[in-house]
Amino acid sequence: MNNGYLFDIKEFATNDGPGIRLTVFLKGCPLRCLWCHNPEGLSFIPQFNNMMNRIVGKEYSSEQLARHILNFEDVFSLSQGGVTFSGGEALAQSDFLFETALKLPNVHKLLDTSGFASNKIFEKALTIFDLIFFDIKLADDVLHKKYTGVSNKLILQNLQILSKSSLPYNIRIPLIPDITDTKENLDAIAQIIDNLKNLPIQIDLLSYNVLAGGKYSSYNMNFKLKNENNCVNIENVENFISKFENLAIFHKE
Amino acid sequence: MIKEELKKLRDFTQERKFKKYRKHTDIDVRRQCKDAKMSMQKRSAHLLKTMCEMEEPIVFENEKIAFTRTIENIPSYYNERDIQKAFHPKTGTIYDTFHNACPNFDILLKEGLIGRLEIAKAGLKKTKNKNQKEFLESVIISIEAVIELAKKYAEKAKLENNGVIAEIMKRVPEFPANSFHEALQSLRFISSMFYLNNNYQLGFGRLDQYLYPYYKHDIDSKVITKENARDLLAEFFIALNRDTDLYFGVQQGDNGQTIMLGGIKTDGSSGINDLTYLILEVSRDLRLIDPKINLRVDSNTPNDLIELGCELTKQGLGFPQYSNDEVVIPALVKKGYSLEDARNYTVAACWEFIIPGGLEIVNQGALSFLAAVDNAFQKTIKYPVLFSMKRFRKEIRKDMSKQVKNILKKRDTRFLPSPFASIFFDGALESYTDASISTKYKNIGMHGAGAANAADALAVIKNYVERKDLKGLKQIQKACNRNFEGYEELQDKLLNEMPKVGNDDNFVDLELKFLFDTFADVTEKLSTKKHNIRPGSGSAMYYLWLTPKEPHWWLIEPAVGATAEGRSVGEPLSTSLAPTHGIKVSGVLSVLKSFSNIDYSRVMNGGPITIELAPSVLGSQEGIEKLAQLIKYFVQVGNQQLQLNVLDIATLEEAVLHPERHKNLIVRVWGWSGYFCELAPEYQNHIINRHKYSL
Repeated sequence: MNNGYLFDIKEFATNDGPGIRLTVFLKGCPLRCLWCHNPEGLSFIPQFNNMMNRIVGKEYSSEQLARHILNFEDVFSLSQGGVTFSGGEALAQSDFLFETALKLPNVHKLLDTSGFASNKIFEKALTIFDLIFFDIKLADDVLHKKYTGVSNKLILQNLQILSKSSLPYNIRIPLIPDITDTKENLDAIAQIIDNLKNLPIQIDLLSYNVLAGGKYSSYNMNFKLKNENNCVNIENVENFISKFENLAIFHKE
Repeated sequence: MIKEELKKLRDFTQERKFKKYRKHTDIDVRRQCKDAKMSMQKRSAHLLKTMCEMEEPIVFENEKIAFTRTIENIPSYYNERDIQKAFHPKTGTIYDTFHNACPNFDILLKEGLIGRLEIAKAGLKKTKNKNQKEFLESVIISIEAVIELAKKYAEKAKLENNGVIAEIMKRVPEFPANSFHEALQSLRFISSMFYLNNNYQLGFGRLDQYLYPYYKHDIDSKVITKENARDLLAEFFIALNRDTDLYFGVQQGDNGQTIMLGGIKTDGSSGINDLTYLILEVSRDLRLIDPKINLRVDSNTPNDLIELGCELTKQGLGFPQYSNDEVVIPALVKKGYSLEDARNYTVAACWEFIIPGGLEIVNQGALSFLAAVDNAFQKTIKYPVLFSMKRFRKEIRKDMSKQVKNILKKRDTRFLPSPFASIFFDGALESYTDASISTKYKNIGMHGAGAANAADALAVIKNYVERKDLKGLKQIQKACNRNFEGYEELQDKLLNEMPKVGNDDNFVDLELKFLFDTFADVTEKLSTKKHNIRPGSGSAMYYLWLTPKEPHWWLIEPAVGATAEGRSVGEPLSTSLAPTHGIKVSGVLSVLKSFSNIDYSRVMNGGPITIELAPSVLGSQEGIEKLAQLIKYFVQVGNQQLQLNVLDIATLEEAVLHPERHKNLIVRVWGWSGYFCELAPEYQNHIINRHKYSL
């Protein structure tokens, strides 16, 4: 049996998929996005939070986690909700993730992913989950490396795989002022989406949270995004949305 | 949407600009009553008559619902000595005017005061009984005084060129209401009369039920449109906020102007109608404190109605408060209420389930669950080697029994005669007897405060007992006695590593159930045929009163110092049913699951699960739909009552620093909402702390 590390389980997450959902946050991420608002999701091991005076990060066996999730089956069926696996990057603990998910045959399972995983792991995920939330951050690989620490090659390959499968998915674009919300980037992402075999069921444009850096000091970490501008370039966003009417939604908060 | 002119009227009211029409009276009503050797019934009538005579009619040119208080104080009409002379009460017996009840407004609307007057006059000819005569005479004096004031209003309206009010006030409250507009005016006028007569916290009950025939008639016969009805309701609601600073309550806002919407009719069919929706919409758009809305729900309640309720929740006023018919009605029936009465339930000033037209003592003190656990712990730990859960539980039961007896004795609450209000309580006028005596049910409600703290403390002790760590138990006792000074590490462990209510953890949730079962056992045992005790899960202001830094000399309930769940001296309890104050729990679903362990069929005095939600949850329409699903889940798991608060903590903190910028900020305090800036600091702090742990 596989064990994994979580840093939170959120009940009644209202922005993580259909119905009433439980969102499970897996600890650890191969990406280092400058704007990341979950610093405790980066490292794969438990960390000390000096504000709360607590260790954050708890080990679960797949059995334990599955049992916990199944406690909520009544509310899932009442609301047509389910469980959302997020992170960190959930696919970075794929053995644990898949083993847990396979123990939940009757639960609607959503994977919220950066898409950064081997093609093999990603293909396997598509056979297990019911809905995918797939992030696209930057279309340009050089910029992608600069702002997230990794290349976007694997991510874009996996996006192709996803769009060729019959699985429903959302594309999510974080709007980081002057980084991801530039005209060039949004145009390029629009181009990528246009060329996909099956379109996503929705494109979510997510506003940058001005409080994103708030948790870093609690973990003795530095928030490296020194962004003077907190305002989304609304013109670019509107321009993007006009290309995908009925599909793209701008989430202001 | 609300019209511009109504918005102006609302703002005028919220700014309390009506204050300028008020004056103080120094009239000595008590002296007059004494000199005339009046009975308590006559005194009450004399007070109302005096007030009605002193009131100066205020009518504005365009207003559609009239009445504005001009006498700001109610002179006393009795004192302790008069009570002694009239009733010869035992020590501990408290006499108070009618409060925390719901009159049967159907009587007013269908019969008018004239109908009541006729019965009283006929009765006076029939009866020779001195007490009955006294009651009926008092009723007649009261009704005639009220009709006289209404006539003064009609005349004044004519002078002010307000023909609408002039016509309406000629008709109501004297005659039965003939239209939706008349019904609203009659209600506003009569409820104001209750306050003039020193009654308080009398709610409006099932407004959408008893107003519906008038609404439907006027709509069907095209007397009004739906939009007219909306404007009238809005003006009625604004009027209800006009004099509220003069109403009695523990804190400003605690005035008991509640209404109950939805639910089933007495025949079991659905009572949801157009007015149910319309009233919710008006309340949402006006964003006023009064009236405080309650919504009855069950498995069949349409989603769009619950979603409308959630839109109101989103306004951050702290209501509607939801109650689950599937749980409440059977519990009331089990307690001895008829099925028809149970189906007709509403709430008193906060959450207590009551029947319109009935008069009961709905809150007579509070049982402190935490004191029961703490006292039992202190007693049992005296002989550590003999410590067992069985002995410990026995002591808890004994302590609860002692507390309930103490409340019965030292908070023995009785109603003073109120002849005028009595005419709206079932059977009083018909039996020529004041409602304080003739009322059908004579039950006594009791709050149960600090349940989550107590269950958490019990779970700590059970944890140590199961691990046979008697040394550890002794240490907890010492630490509590020293308020955890020098035991900071232990306190941290108790607070953060022990099972807590709100995490769906049976180890502690079953202790919560045990505490309420025991409360129910004890109250059932101490109930008599005459006085059936209704245990509840509400805390009211006892979440502060029971945990003072220095004991209050006036409090008859036992206070607690530091306790085993890790709580320091003076730290408040959680309100009603909420996880221990300051504890982070898994989430709102687990909170609902934890509290569903309580056997509500035996605990029916009310007291809501209280949840603070972050405003971001309700950001979108999707959020509203999901919250509505959450309320359905609350019904499905068998919970009884739910109260949701949505407020931004930054706003609250700013309001403490700059009250002048947040004069209209409304918050839920316990069973009622009030203006944040009008609350005492200890209540403000409690609210801020609650919102820090929003889910």
